[in-house]
Amino acid sequence: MLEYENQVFLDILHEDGLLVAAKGLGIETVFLNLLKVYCDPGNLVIVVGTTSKEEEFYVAQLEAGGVKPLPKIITTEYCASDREHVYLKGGVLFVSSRILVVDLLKDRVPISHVTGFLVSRAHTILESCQEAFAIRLYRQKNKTGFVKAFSTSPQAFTAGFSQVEHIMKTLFVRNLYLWPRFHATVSASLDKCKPQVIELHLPLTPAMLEIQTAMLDLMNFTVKELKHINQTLDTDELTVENAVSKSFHKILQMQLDPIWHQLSMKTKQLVADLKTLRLVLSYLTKYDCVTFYTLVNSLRSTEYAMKSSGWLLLDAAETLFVVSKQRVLGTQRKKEEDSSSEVQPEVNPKWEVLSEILKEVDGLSKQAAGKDPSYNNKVLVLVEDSRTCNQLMQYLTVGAHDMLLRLYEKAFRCSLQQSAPQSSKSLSKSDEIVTPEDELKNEPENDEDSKDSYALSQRPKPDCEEEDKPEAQYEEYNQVENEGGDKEEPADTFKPPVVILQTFKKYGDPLALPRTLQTIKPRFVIMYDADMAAVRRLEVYKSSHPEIQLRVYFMMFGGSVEEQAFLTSLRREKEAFDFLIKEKASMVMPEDQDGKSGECLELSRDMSRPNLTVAPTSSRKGGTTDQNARKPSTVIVDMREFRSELPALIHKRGIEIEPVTLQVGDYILTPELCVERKSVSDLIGSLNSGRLYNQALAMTRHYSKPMLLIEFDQNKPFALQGTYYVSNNVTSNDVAAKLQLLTLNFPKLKLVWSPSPYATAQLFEELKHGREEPDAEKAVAVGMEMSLGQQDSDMLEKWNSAIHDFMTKLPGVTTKNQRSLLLKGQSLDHLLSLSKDELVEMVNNSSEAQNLFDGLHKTYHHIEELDVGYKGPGRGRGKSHGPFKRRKVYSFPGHL
Amino acid sequence: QRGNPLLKSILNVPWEYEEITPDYVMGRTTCALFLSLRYHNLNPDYINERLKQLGKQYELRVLLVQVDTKDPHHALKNLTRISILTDVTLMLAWSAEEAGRIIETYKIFENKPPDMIMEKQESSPYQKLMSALTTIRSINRTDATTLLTTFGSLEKILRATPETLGLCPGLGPQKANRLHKVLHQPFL
Repeated sequence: MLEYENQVFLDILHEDGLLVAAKGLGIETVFLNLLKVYCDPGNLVIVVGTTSKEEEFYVAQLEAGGVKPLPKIITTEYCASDREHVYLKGGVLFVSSRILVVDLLKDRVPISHVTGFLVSRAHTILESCQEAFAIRLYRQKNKTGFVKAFSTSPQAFTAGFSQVEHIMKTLFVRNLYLWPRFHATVSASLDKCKPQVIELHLPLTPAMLEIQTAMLDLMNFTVKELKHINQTLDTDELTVENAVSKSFHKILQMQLDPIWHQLSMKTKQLVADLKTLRLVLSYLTKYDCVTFYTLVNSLRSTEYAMKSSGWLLLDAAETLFVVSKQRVLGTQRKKEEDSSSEVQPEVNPKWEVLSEILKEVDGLSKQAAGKDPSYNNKVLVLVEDSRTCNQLMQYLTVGAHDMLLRLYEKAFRCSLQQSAPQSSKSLSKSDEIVTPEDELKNEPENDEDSKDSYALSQRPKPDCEEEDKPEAQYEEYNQVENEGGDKEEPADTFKPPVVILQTFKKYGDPLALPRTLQTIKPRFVIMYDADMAAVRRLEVYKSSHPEIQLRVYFMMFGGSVEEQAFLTSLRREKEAFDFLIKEKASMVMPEDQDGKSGECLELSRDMSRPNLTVAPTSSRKGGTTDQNARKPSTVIVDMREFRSELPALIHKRGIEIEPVTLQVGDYILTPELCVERKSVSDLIGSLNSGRLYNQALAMTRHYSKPMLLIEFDQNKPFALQGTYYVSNNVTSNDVAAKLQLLTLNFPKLKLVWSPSPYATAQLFEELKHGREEPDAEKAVAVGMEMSLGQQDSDMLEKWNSAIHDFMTKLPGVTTKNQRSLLLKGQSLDHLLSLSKDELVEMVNNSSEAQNLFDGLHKTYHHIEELDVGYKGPGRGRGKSHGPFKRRKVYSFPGHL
Repeated sequence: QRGNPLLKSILNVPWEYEEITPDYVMGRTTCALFLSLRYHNLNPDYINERLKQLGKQYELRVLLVQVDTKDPHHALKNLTRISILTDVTLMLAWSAEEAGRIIETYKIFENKPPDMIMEKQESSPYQKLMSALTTIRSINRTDATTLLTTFGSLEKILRATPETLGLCPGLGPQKANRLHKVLHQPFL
């Protein structure tokens, strides 16, 4: 371990705390060593918040280090009793937080024996409430164990009001350790042996520069427009400089989210446009001119112009199109001289430099290899994403010009064929070589991209666009570099350098880079794209392997947005740390925050109130204690509900929680009272899919007081906003109307409108006030078994529910006729014996009766028949209806 | 309710004044009480009085609350509790127009079947049979397919004894028994 890593390790080992480190500083080494310390059957250490990749990495590393027993990863594969066993065995356990919460509640974890908790990704703890809940449960019963939390995202702590304190409170830690890159110990230990860095600032080509200026103009325009329309926004962060960086959209979304419903279409469009523009801008430096051109062209379609906020109409946009085209086709003058080859794509300057570097490396390693035959001459090229990776590989194998031509042909094949005859004529005014259809075909994924952005999806954007594609697997592509074959040395002793292309984050796995570095131990590293974390990784790598003469080439376009974005990301991280340092200095920490010393405000669960409910009765009864007095009030909660915040809040109010898998409902408060919780988006979704109907049906069947809880997000306004709640035409699918229809069909179903989970928890407590406790076993049993013999008489359903469900699904049965059918039909056996005419009489509709009759008697045996048509030819059984069926068979072939 | 601005937004159905206990009667079984939160804050007892009068007269009793105060949460919590105790359904509206629309929609939907909020019905008879069979607990899609292919038609399935049903691959005697039992249940 390096000096500073040692320091970090000791700090966190001795005192509980929250550790925030800069990206790429190798916190996982510290984490790993901590795990090593605790890997012992005598300990029980629970790790939460890790991703499966990280878990694999740690386990593999520990295995390599010969540590026993290895940490276990607990997922749903273990059954409950197995888990209990595993907990008792001790050691380090990676547990998914949902399982952990359930096990803690069920007392499967020997809480008092838990040595401690390690929390990775501590900055997400507020969003994913399960970890917080788990820690609180643990802290309540265990006052001695430790909690150590880790995070590498200082920016996340700066958002919101006193976010750090809040997070530390939920973690029950008192110390905050900050390890920025500029920390004295860190820089001292990293500066000791610096890698040899060669920075290459490439100039942009004139065309690229022109495009960049145009793009910045466009973004400037868009940002200004955005500010103009929404003057309430906090405009400090809204600058073009920030807009270039990746995190910009996170900030913007955070600001806009609470008022998202109220924003005009135009604002939403502007936000989407900004995203698109940023994408285009990043393509400029990353990819070749052909890819860039196709992207730009896809934006140019009239369809997009209609939607977009008008930046396409600006002069700068025109420049963008013209110049990007010129990059592909070469300038006019050139073309006239050389009419034989129409396409003269501009080569990305980085490529040329890359080959130069490779040549240089080649020379260097040749020299070195002369002295030392076992010389390691691996070259690692680091790029941003798999697409660049793929491109570079093609470039190195095929050569620049061929590759661009191939790309060009792929992208414009159709248009070339069409325009080939007239291309010579139209050269002077060749603005319209690409037909609109091609534009639509090109780059479909970009279209999707821009479409996605309109919806402002709240999911985080994946790190690389195309991670799922097979091309991403070029990491181990050991490709012998031989340009034109002239470098093939006949010498036996010399191997040409192995070039390995690698992305910063493979499959979103941040640990891929250190792992590759460790396994291949490269001597040369070429940073094709700039990334803060990767640079630090290299520093750490160099420091931990001082024997390797690391040489880093750092490629960057001077004065470009690429440089700008890199510098901005550096600056933002530094600012975040500065902020945290200040915050730390002024932070007020209550003594008891670690929850170890008896009473802690956060831990007290407000036990008094639920107990009050039974107090008056017990005093009278004297010696004979009331059953209820000893039994704390409980709520039965469905397992799946642990994804939401509510169970934790209910628990905090002093109500016990019983986690079980419920068939019907989400929460059972009392034997009669069953609650189905729906968030607003859930509500809309399940109203549309019909799931809510089924759930409501099930609830009314089994409980006398079913409740539908509509829960709003506390950060968003308490209203079903604007257009989608009530629209003007009544037959439309709007939410309110559907909700009303639901209430019409289930008059017993109560609606509860709750502004936030906190309010819900409060309400639950009030509802439970003085009621009977629910029985978990009964609740589980509900809906599980056929309630045949034990049909409750108070259920208002007239018919036997099982057969009723069955009947409604039969062909020819509609909601209109099911009633009369069920009333008169007696049973399925009876229906079977009826003739078709009798059925017609029963349902008052000949075609429906026909359908039902067919459904009952006909043989359907082939799935293929379904595709053929609604009433595919089926072999009829009833003799008397033969002619009818035959007629149908004949009437259909025309459609087939 | 004379002079209530929500009446202005009831455009698509005819309405008239009448002497009734609830504020609005939308159908034979449906009625509504209207309450503005602002009024409720001034006269918290009013709604209790009205609900008591109303009793259990209609099958669906809607308490239509217009949220017109800045901070409605406390009042709403009270109303929620009241609505649960007195068995009325709470509907919220954020403006008079919305409230009017809600009353109107109740009238329009008076006799509407719940198809709109139910799952999409499969169109082909085979699929329908499949989904019908799978409504029976313990019968999954594979079982349904097996049943339909071995027996051919629903009629044959119905005529089969639990023993023959149990011979199908994937259907043990327990499942077969259950299936048989359900299929031969009387409707009523």
